[in-house]
Amino acid sequence: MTDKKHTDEYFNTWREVKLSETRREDIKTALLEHARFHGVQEAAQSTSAVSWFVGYRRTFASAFAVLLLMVTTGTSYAARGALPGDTLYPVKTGFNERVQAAFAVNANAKVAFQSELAEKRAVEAKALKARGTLTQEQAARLKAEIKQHQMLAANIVTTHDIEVTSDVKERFTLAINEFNTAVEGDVSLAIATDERVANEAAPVARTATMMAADTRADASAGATTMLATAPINEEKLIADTQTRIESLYELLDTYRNEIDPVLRAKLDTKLDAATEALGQAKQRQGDQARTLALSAADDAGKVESVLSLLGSVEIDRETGAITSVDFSNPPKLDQDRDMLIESILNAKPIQPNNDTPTVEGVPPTSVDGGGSIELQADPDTNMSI
Amino acid sequence: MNRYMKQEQLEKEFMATFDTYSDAIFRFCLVKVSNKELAEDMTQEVFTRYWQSLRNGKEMTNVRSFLYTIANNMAKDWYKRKKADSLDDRLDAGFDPRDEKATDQMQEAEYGEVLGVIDELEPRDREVVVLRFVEGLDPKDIAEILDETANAVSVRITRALNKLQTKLNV
Repeated sequence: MTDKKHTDEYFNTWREVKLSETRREDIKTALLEHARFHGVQEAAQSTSAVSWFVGYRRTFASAFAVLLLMVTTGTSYAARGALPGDTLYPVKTGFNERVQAAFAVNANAKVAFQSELAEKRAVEAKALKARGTLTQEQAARLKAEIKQHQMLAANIVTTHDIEVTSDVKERFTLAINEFNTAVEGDVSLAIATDERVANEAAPVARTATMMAADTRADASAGATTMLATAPINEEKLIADTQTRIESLYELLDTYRNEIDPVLRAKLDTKLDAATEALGQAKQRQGDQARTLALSAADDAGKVESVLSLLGSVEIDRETGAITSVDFSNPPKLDQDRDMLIESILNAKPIQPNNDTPTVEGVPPTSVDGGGSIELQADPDTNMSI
Repeated sequence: MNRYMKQEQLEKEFMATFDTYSDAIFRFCLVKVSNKELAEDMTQEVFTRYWQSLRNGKEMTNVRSFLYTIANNMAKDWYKRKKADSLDDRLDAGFDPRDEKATDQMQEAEYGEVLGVIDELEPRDREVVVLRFVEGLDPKDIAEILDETANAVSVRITRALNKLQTKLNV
C-alpha cells in the first residue's frame, strides 16, 4: 500500500470522529438556552459607552449594592485589614477605596472621605510599627499619601468653597499625630504641624499650595511614591492570585452540582480570563505585570463575589482565597440575586491607578474572538467573553 | 428590525453555524487535549463565546477561523491550568503521566485508532495535520488561527506529514 493511501485512509477515519448524537443535542439545547437567556436586548444595552453609562445611571441603586457587596465580601473583605507590603494591600487601596470614593457624592463627603483615608494610612503606619516591620520606605510613602489626601481635601474645599467640619479637622489632626507617633524619633519623616491642613486658621488654599510644593519636593527626593506607582511585590501578587484562581477552579468543580451550569460556565470563563492575564503577567515586568496581575485578581474577585452571593463563604485570611461555600445558607438580599450576579460579572474593571492604565506596549492577548482577557475598561468588550 | 426578529435571526445563524462546524471544532479540541469529555465541554464553550460575539454584532469575516481561534486560545488556557496543577505534587504522590495517558486512551477506545497514531506526533504537529489534511484549511488560515507565520506553519505541515507517513507505514 502506498504512503498516500495510508495517510488518506487515516484522514478519512479522522473525519468520522464526531460528537455523539446525544451529546450534540445536549450541547445544542444548552447553547440555545444560553442564547435566549443572553438575548439581543442585553447586548444592545452595551453597544456604546454612552448607553452603558445611561444604563449604569439607571441602575445606580443596584450597582451601588453590588459594589458595596464587592467591597464587603470576598477578597475585598479580606483586603480590608491589609497593610503596606501585604499582597492584598493594592486591593484595599486600589479597589476598595476607589469604590468607596466613587460613592462620596458631594464635596463634603469627598473631603470627609479624604480625611478617612489619611487616618487609615496613619493607622497602617502604627500597625506596621507595632508589627516591627515599618520600613523607611513605607513610612515615606504613607507620609506622602497622607499629604496627598490633605491636598486633595484642600483642593475640594477651595474648589467648592465649603466649610470644613470639625470632624474632618479632627480626623486629619489625629492622622498626623498617629503617624508621627509611629515614626517617633525620625524627624525627617514626621509630618510637621505647620503642614496640617483644614484644621489650621490659615486659609486652606494657601496650605494647599504649600503642601503641593512640599509634595513636589518629596517627589524630587524620590519619596513620593504615590499609590499609582507604589511598589507592589508583583511576584507575591501573582503567586497569591494564582492560588486564589486555582482554589476557585477547585471550588467550582467541588460545587458543580450546586451552581447553575450556565453560571458555572461564566465563572469558568472569568477564571480562564484571569489565568490568561496572570500567565501574561508572569512574562512581563513592572507596571505591565502589575496591571495584568491586578486584572487577574479583579476577575478572581468577581468570581469570589459571586460565590459569596450564592452562599456563606469561608475565607483564608492569608491569601484571601475562599476555602468553602455553604450553599444552604446564602446571604439575604433585598434584590434579585441573578441580576446582582450579572452586574458583578459585567462590572467594569476598576483600575488600581488614578491614571490611565498603563497597558501600552502590551500586545493584544489574542486575535479577535479568542480573547478571554479584558484589560481595557471598555464597556463594549466588557461582556463576560 | 425589532429585537425579537433580530434574536430569532441570530439564533438561526447560531444554530446553523453550530451544525456546520461543531464536529470540526470538536475534533480540533480533541487533538488539542486528547480527552473526549473535555473536548465536548470545550466545543460547547467555544460556541458560547461565539454567541457573545454574534449578539454583540461583532463583524466576523471568517466564522470558521474565528471558532478555531477561540478553541485554540481555550486550549492554551487549559494547558496553563494543567501545568499549574503542579505536576511535581502529583509525581510525589506516585502519579505516573504514562498511566494517565494509558487510561485516557482506554477511555477513548472508540477514537483509539486515530488518536493513537496522532498522539505519537509532537503536540504542535498534531494540530497542523488535522487542520490541514482533515479539515482542509489553507496554511494561511492555519497560521492565523495558531498565531504563527504562514511559513512556519508550512514547514510544520511538511515535517508532520512525513512523520505521520512513517508512523503509518511501520
